[in-house]
Amino acid sequence: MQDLMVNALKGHNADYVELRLETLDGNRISYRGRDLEDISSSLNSGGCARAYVNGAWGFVTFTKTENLRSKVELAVQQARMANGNGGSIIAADPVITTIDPVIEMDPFEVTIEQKVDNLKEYIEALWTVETLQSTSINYGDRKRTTHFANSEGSYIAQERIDVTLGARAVAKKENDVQQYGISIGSLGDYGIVLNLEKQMKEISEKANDLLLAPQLDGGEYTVICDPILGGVFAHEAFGHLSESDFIYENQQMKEIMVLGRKFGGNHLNIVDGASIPGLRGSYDYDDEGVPSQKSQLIHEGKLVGRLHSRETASKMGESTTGNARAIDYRHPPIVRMTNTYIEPGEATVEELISEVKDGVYAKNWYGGMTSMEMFTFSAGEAYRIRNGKVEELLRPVVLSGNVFTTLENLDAVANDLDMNQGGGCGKAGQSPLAVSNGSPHIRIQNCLLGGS
Amino acid sequence: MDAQDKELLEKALDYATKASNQAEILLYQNISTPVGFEAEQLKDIETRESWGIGIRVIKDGKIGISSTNNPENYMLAIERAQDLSKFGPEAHFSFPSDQNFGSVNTIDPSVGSIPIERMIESGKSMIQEVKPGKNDVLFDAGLQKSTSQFGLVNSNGLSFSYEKSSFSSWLSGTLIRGTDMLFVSERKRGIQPDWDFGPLISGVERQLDWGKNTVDSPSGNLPVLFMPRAVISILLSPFLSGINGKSVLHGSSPLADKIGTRIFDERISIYDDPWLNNKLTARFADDEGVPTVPRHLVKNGMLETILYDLQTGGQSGKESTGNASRGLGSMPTVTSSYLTIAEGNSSTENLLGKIKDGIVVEQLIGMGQGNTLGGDAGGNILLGYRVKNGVIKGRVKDTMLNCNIYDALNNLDEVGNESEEIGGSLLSPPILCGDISISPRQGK
Repeated sequence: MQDLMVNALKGHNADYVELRLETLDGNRISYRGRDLEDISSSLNSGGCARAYVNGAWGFVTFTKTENLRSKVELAVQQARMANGNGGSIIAADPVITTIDPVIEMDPFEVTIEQKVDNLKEYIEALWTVETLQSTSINYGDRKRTTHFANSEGSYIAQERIDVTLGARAVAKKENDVQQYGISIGSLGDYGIVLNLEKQMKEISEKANDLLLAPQLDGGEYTVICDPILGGVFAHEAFGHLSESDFIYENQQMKEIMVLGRKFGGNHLNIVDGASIPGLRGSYDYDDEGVPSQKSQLIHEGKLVGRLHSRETASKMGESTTGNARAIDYRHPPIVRMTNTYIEPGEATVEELISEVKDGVYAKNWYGGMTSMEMFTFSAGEAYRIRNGKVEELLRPVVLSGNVFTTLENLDAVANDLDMNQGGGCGKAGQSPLAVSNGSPHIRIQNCLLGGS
Repeated sequence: MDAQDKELLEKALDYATKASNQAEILLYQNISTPVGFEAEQLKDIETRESWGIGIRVIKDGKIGISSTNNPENYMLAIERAQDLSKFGPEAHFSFPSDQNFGSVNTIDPSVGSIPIERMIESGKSMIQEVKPGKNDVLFDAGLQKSTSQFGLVNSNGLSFSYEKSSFSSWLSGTLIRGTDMLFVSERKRGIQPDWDFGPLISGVERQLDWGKNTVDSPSGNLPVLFMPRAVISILLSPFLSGINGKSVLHGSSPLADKIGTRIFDERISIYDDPWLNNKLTARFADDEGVPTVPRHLVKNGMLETILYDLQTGGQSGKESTGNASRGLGSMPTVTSSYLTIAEGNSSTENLLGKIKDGIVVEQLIGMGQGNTLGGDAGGNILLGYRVKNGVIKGRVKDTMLNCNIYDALNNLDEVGNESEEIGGSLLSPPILCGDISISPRQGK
């Protein structure tokens, strides 16, 4: 494989060429209620060739992996036809390596019987609550093996296994419907799918409890976000702004995201890094052969870094960060997050809450979107805080606002960082990409909440 | 479909039938060439080839599914499907036998041979045309041509294939002032080459014009004009989930027993037409080989049908309505094809003229929350404008819109007569509804 790929890349009239060959093996099992809705397996392979000439790219993706040289030639021809008007990409040191996958408990060593049995137990655990209207459980595993070679002389073989599980219960009373769920995931560990009976029961109980909970009057509140919601905020509301492909060609975006700009108080520190081991967004080399690292994005409230591909780093005169990722061989690498989190502070969560006279404790997450400056997230559950104490359960609340204002209003960070591994990120038609995000409990003043 | 693929379909069906009671093999092959402009410069040219087969078997009454995109692995994939069927859902259907399908045009043969140079030149001229007078707006654009083959064979003797072409173009603009960001975009998709970018340009220009100033939002229960793309993304999506046979089967749809009853204002009619020639959605058979049928989903406010595929139909004691769509490696899902929403009589200007103080909405973010099947829809207005005395005043931000679509489409004020095609699969006029909850952020 290595020789075939290296030979196919030799002697092209381009600034840079690369080849990526992959196999993808996956299984999916879904239940809706007690009915098995989907059980399927997919076994795919394919590749892509990419060429850079004078500021423009050619990209060819294919499923039939014969005659690799002609694929590279076509990519070069397209890049030349695009006739770019100058530009360069940052070189990386050539590396020849094979990276072993991170495996705790290999889902591909677990039989389908076992997987089905585990899920069936959880369905029974969910249905111990009787007011349910429906439940859903979705399990998936995926093994991606990548062979990467480029004109710099690198050859990198990597493999990763992802495991994900989502469970949800919908409770109904007359015309009223409430739901609660969890989503979890791991890099190479089926173990996360085991021993969840208690959590499953809690999901149904919470969905049921929400039917009886009062609805909050919409308006501005002091909000404490739990690590899951805080992590979603770090990723969705701030993280996407640090992806340099949104910035590098846009003068106004460069002004907004100028290094040194104060985004929040000294307690605000945000990091992204694939080199942090063992998380969903962890890897050794990105999909253009650049080593991963840990990047400080915000330090003591100031913007100090951002996420790059070879090209965006070159255009902005900065160093690569190893954040060019593709979901699979059908797509070119683009700038993506990996493991993104707000770093812990000194305070305890109890201290954060005790200072709130009238506010809301928002936990978990079941949906949301951002459009750079604007965001809207749904918390999975919420509680009223009065005089420093967490009181009654509320109907799920929707948090929305402007990211810049909200970061300024983020006034306290607790010491209890926790990472959420159940996420998948979508961008430019590439979804879901394995990422993790996290946060300690954080406090936001004047946050706009809507009832659902 | 080429001889090699035909032969593979036959071999795979033979192999699958040996150890299963029934089998179905689906083949999908596609080649697409997108040309992309970033920050007004040609940025990339791509060639995307894909090929794959989807396998569905019924063995001992149970369904197993698998897929592969490597022709050499077809036997392994079939064995996997057969293994999985042990745990699979019980089948409530038989694969259809050979049918007399109607004739629907799904291809323009000229698409495959469109020169890339022409796509590049057209992209450049699109940007040249839109740019003058908009120095502060940065544009991205793109064009894509694509041809595909779809083939299906099953053990009950059904065998058919068809070719499909598509051509799409898009234009988007970004206007950033301080930390205020305005994103606007338009897209066109169809089967035939379409070099008339006028609608893309005028759509983008209209959004930039209406959104150029930011103004305070009004508050309360107000008239809201849903522009065509808001009609599909906000008002229609809960309804389309509701007429999905699966939601009805699971008792989660509010439309379960509503066939033949009024669910919307009588001015609302929604027609689903899979036979509309030259539309991307055109097909004579669905992805399970059931003939497609044009039909009203809603006629004069009355619900006419629930949509089923083979399995959900079988489970519900109904026939499939020919609405199955599937990826290679998953169970079919129920989808509509080309939806046309009946027009009313009012021009958009007249509709605006009826608004004393209200909102025009194009796009929300944060959808899919609350009791969506029950018709709850809402979110933060991503792109929307304030209207005062019939005049667009500017963009509103940090404002939540919430409604129940069944209430909204029962209390509608007026349906417009200036329809727009959205995403190549929907033709809708703007719809003016009264009494929609609008809550802006307080004390800005």
